[in-house]
Amino acid sequence: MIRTEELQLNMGPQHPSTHGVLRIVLRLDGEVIVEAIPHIGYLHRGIEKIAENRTYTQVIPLTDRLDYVSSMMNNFAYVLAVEELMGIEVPERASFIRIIMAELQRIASHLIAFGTGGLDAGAMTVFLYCFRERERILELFEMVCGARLTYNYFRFGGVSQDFPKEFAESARNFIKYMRPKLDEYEDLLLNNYIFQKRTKGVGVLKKKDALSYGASGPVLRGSGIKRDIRKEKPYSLYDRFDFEIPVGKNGDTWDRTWVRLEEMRQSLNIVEQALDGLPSGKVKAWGVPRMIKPPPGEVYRPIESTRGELGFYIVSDGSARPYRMKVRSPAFSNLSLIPVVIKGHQIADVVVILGSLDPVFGEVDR
Amino acid sequence: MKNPQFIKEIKKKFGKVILDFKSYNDEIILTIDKTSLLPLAKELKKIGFEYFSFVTAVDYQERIILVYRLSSFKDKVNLILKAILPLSDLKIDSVSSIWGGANWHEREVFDLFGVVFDHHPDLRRILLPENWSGHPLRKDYRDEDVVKRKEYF
Amino acid sequence: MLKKFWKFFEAFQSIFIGMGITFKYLTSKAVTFQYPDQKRPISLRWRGLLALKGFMGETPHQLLRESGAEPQTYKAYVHKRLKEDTLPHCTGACPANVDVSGQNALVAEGKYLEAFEIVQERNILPGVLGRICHHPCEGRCRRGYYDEPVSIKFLHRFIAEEARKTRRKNNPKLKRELKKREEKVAIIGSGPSGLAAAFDLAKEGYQVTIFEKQKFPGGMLAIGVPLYRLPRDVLLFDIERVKGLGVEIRTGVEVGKDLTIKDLKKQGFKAILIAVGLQVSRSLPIPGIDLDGVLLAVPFLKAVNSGEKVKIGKDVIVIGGGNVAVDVARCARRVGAEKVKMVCLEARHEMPAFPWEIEESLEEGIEIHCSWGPKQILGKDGRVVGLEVKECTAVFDAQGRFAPTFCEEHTKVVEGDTVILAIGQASDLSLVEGTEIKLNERRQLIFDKVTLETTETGVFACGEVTTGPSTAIGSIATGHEAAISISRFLRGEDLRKGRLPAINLEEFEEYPQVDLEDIEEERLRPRPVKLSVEERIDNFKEIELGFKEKVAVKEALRCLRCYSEKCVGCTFCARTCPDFCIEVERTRDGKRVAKYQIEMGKCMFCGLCSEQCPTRSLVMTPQHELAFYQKELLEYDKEKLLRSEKGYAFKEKEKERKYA
Ligand SMILES: Cc1cc2nc3c(=O)[nH]c(=O)nc-3n(C[C@H](O)[C@H](O)[C@H](O)COP(=O)(O)OP(=O)(O)OC[C@H]3O[C@@H](n4cnc5c(N)ncnc54)[C@H](O)[C@@H]3O)c2cc1C
Ligand code: SF4
Repeated sequence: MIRTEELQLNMGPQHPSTHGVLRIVLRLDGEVIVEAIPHIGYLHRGIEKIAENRTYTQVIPLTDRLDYVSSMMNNFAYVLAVEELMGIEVPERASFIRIIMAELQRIASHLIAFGTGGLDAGAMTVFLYCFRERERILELFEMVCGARLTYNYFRFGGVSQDFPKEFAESARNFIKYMRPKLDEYEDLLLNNYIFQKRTKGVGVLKKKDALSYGASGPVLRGSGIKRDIRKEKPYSLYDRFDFEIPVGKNGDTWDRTWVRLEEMRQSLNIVEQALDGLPSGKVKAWGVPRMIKPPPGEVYRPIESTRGELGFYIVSDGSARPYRMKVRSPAFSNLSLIPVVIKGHQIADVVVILGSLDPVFGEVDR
Repeated sequence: MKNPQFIKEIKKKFGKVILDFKSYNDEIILTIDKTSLLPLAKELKKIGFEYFSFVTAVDYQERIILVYRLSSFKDKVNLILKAILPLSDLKIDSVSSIWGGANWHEREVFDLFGVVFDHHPDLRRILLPENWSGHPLRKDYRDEDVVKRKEYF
Repeated sequence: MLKKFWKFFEAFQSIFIGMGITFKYLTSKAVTFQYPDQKRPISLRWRGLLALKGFMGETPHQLLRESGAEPQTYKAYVHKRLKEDTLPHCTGACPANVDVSGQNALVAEGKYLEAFEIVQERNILPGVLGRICHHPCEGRCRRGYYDEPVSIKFLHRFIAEEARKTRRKNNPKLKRELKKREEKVAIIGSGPSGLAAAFDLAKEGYQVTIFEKQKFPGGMLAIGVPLYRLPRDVLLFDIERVKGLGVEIRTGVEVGKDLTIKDLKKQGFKAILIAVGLQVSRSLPIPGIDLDGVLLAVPFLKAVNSGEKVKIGKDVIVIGGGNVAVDVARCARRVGAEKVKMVCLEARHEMPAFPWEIEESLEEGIEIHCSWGPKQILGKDGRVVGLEVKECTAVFDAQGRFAPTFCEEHTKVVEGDTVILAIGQASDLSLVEGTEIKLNERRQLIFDKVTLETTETGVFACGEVTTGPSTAIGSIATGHEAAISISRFLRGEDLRKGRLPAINLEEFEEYPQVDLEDIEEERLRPRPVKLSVEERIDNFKEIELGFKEKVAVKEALRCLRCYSEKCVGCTFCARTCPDFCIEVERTRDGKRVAKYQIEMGKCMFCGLCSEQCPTRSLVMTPQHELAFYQKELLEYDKEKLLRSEKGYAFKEKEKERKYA
């Protein structure tokens, strides 16, 4: 009999497939993973602490730096929470603009997840295509707010500036351009035999685990749980839009990737509906003071961000600075599933599974 | 409140330990005595609060309040559970045996606030380096390297 | 055979599927095959490096000067600025669009007379309005967003006071430039609107004559506004300046009685302007209205203001909740009434009177009975002994129109020996009889909303006859409009061409009150000195005192000169920057910017600072290259920040620099 010995393998923190700075200590039995211990915190900037020393408005650019591939969503969640504390009503047009931006952001972010998910399995083409498409969305964002990554676009009671004139047309062009692309990607990646072999039945996340680990977003829906905060507890004006929630069957890597693709389609629908129904009017509520001083109290307002339930738990003591700001980041909870889903798989699957959980470390580490 | 049924149930079972009870449309805010956290958590999971969103803490100077957020998809109810810890005794039972997700969240609270969770499988710092001293989100945390900001309005 | 083939197929199944897909794409037209071949242009909103467009200097931008100071071009200019979203909100909110930031800048420089002149251009009675204006401008002052609005009204008052000191009755420059025209214009009524029209027309050289019924000019300002709010010498001085332009005011002539409009036409007046205001106090059809001791507001105020003795009792009831009612109540308090009670339909927050007026009257011990409507006046031996009132449940209907509903059962009696009715005024238009000027069924003038022309050619109307109950500055604004119409009419031009509507107040945001707790003392606005209740209650001394010179200059320096594109060193960018990249300081006297320094190395391009900039001088430029330059260049100070016509000042030395 051959005597085998367990091997400890350090993956990361600088590793092209960890989607950021993540270190996983893998205990291997041959090729099979016996235990995986993730180590995070390499990108910890203490944003929650910094926020306690900034005024409410100054926190908005800070939230951009949480989940940097979907900054709009962070803006959205934060601004919604403070608005709820303050009792600010948002003009209709501003809400529509917010939804358009958020959904475009969802597409941009899912394109990355989808593309890099392919890259992790060795499919280079989709990755390049996805980045090209994302570039078009970033151009739209740049047109609207002048930034490509850290938008700082949302304000209490609205958004910082109205759409430029040419935006609506460009956005419509983008939708027209994007729809056939998604079909093509489905063929290229999801229907790809190799990709299917690499992902079907790999990294199965059971419903029970998904719930108790607080997974959310495509990770949760991939496991067959139909939960989307946009439908469950509509914030902003999401109850006016018609869209569906894609739900996976098996909870494996392929399902999660498929959910993302399907969500992009739905987001395109939402953007189109919002562009059609975009009302005119102000983009910022009247009478929002410069120095935001919410009455003492606390609020937790989750939104469905690209990665799942993103919420800001804010405690105010009536001063101009938040007393405590907790960021409930979806990627943190999703990533905590790593030890559960990776166990028993082969080492080559680690990157594929990790990619399908789509963590962004700005958000995980805060 | 859509579902008064299980509110009654909780109240009946844990009436003594619930210090405060508020409910809005579909949000319940419960404040409990810290000693009875574990049995209450078990019961809550049984009645449908399967989804563990997060646990965090707020430092109110003389006491720290732990805030748990749970959701029940079945009844579409969200729950905020609060447990009060006096600064002198920052210890509470871990719920990571009930909700796996609590594991990392409790580590985070331990890291940033110094709250000790009993029976936690792996209570280490999570975000900060192992050799960090102090718990930065505590209001009494001092760091010489921190630059003082001007008070500007 | 088939079985064998099937086995073979199974082994290479994946290859076949792959070939299939490849074939499919070979035959179909590739979609993902376009690459951008052009470099795309950068967005105009790009958040790049910060740059300043300029610093405040001696001559600030002035709306009035830029527009050519003509009433016609000024309006167009204001609208143009509004469309570009660069119109200072105070100017937009003022009904007459006074150039407020121009005024403030000139006061800050110590040029009080110049400031007076540019204010007078639009607001012909600066001294008067500096006291009684309801200042919608201040609620929309952008400074109110940061701490407290600039005291625009008191600055009007200050410059008028300075001008009065010099005793210059007219503007010599203006008078020299006057070109005489032959056409004669008659204006009926010397209220603010009539005076405004006369001022504009006289400036164009027309021969203007004002006919006034009363013995004194000034309209409701002289008849109605109480002395404790507006000393009459101020009013007279302002009117003198209008007269100085060659306007003739004939007092004691009532058109319709002493003279008719036809007579005026015969006398050679080419155009006639009706500015008769609302002169008749409305009465109420309730029992007991003809009792002894029931008075009307306007005659009462007129008597009080002209120093006549008025007979009122010790216990006065005023019916009405508007500004006139408040004035009546406070006047009654001053001429001997010991107790004054106001009865009005509206609830306290709905009362049409201005909140500060209500505040002051409460200080003076005036009782206000809100939500009560008069039922009947109780009398005994022909004299008033009280007023029976019924509860008013709603004042407005669902559409927001005035339609009070009452609860007849719920009544109470308010005791008193005098009742003064201040429930609104109506116009007395008996002067139109025998002309082609038509009235509608409610005896209101029919006129064109845009040109203000009545149904008879050559006869125009302005002021409160056209707008209904309004304010002094609102009436002045219509006076300017009417003057444009008349001068166009006399020159035979199209009255309508290019006429623009008044700017809607809704265009501008009214800022909420700022919590002043954390704000430094020097950022707050000065509070005017006020007489205490004991000092003012038994006389007609002016209640509020004006600013001293030092205070006024300091106050004018608080003005942010919105949209001037010249940094005023207000420091709000520095206060907003999350990373404290910006340092700004003013010189000791506050008139110039002494230091402006940005540390671009810390900047994270969030753009919050340029969003806060009220002048729009701090902009984020679409340039990013500087980040590649040497590090010391990332910190640049005042001189390097300025932008020249071609580009940025630092661009000129570009060749010498190498990329780091
Ligand atoms: C008591 C009171 C207080 C007020 N307080 C304020 C205030 O604080 N702030 C503010 O902004 N506004 C105030 N107002 C309103 C302001 O006074 C009026 O809006 C403004 O005076 C209207 O101007 P006008 O030119 O349209 O008419 P008026 O000022 O009414 O002028 C009309 C003139 O025409 C004369 N006239 C009438 N008929 C004839 C005729 N047949 N022949 C010749 N002459 C005639 C009248 O004698 C009068 O002098 C107040 C009004 C009143 C009554
Ligand atoms: S006239 Fe009145 S409204 Fe106009 S600027 Fe002066 S104070 Fe303001």
